[in-house]
Amino acid sequence: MDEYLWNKTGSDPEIERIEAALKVLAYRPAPPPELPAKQQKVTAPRRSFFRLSLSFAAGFLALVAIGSMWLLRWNGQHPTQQAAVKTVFQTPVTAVRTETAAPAIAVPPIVSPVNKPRRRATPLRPPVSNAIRPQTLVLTQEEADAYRQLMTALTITSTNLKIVKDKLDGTE
Amino acid sequence: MRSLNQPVIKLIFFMLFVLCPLAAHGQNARLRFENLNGLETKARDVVEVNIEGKILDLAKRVLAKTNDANAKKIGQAINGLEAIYVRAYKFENENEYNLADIDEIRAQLQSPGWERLANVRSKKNNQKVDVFTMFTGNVMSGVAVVLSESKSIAVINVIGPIDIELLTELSGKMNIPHFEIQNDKDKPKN
Repeated sequence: MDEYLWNKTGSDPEIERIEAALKVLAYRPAPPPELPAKQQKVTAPRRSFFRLSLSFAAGFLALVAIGSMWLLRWNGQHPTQQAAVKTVFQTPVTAVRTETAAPAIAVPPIVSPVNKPRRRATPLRPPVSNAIRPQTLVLTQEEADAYRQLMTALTITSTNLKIVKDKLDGTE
Repeated sequence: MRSLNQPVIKLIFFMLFVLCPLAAHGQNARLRFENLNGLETKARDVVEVNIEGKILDLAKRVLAKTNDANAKKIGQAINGLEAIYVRAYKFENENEYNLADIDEIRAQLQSPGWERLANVRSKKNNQKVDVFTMFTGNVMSGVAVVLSESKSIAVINVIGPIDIELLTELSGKMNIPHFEIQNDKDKPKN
């Protein structure tokens, strides 16, 4: 039995039976099989490159559109918005002039909602940092009342002092 | 002779050390507004503000909490403020108030201690504005502003030192910040 296994001399029916069973799986020299036609095409990489370029182009166009809208908004292409910005910054000056006409009962300037410019459907504003964001104080009712009273008194005082100063300076 | 002079010198020193501080105390910067009370019913708009003591402390505390630059300046200008009283009346028509009422206030400012800082007279609207200050030593102890026009009156009485220049500069810049009222139920329970 060992002779047949190692030297293939003699006979061993059991090993011969196993050899016969496994013969179908033995190596047979033959030409390599042909690859499927799909895998031979090289169009796939070209298509992905096209898609990537298209995405970049769309993104670039979107950035240009947003940038130009932002520039139009802040460079005065919208007169209502430019006027609104001016109104906000010029309010104190206007208030002083108004108070000069009626100085006795002067109140802090209030921007009328009628004069407020309409907002855009999609407002594009530069981000506001925490440092310049208007502060909201949490006060007790007593504190709020006291503060309002003090500010009212000081507003009337400063307005009347301003009248005197303007008269003395000859600016009025 | 020497024994005769001693009581006189003692009397002079008594007057210097006792009566002078009393006289200085008598120079109170507080004005009396009683004669203006009748104007409340005649005026179209009335502003009456009395801020002193605890209310002033609360308001100053709020100023300290505010991080606005102008609020800091206001706090600086009124740092030593002890009280402020304002009466402002606006009338619908001319000559609806009695000139004697406002002249009585101006008469109070003729008393010792008050010094006229500035006055403005204009024929337009018959405008008269007077600014008076009172000093105790080198420290300002009071300011009074009296304004009368054909259709309005305003009297401001400040007790304690204020920075007039800074307050004038802040005219029109005293924006009241947005604040939320804390309810009682929000307060932490002890």
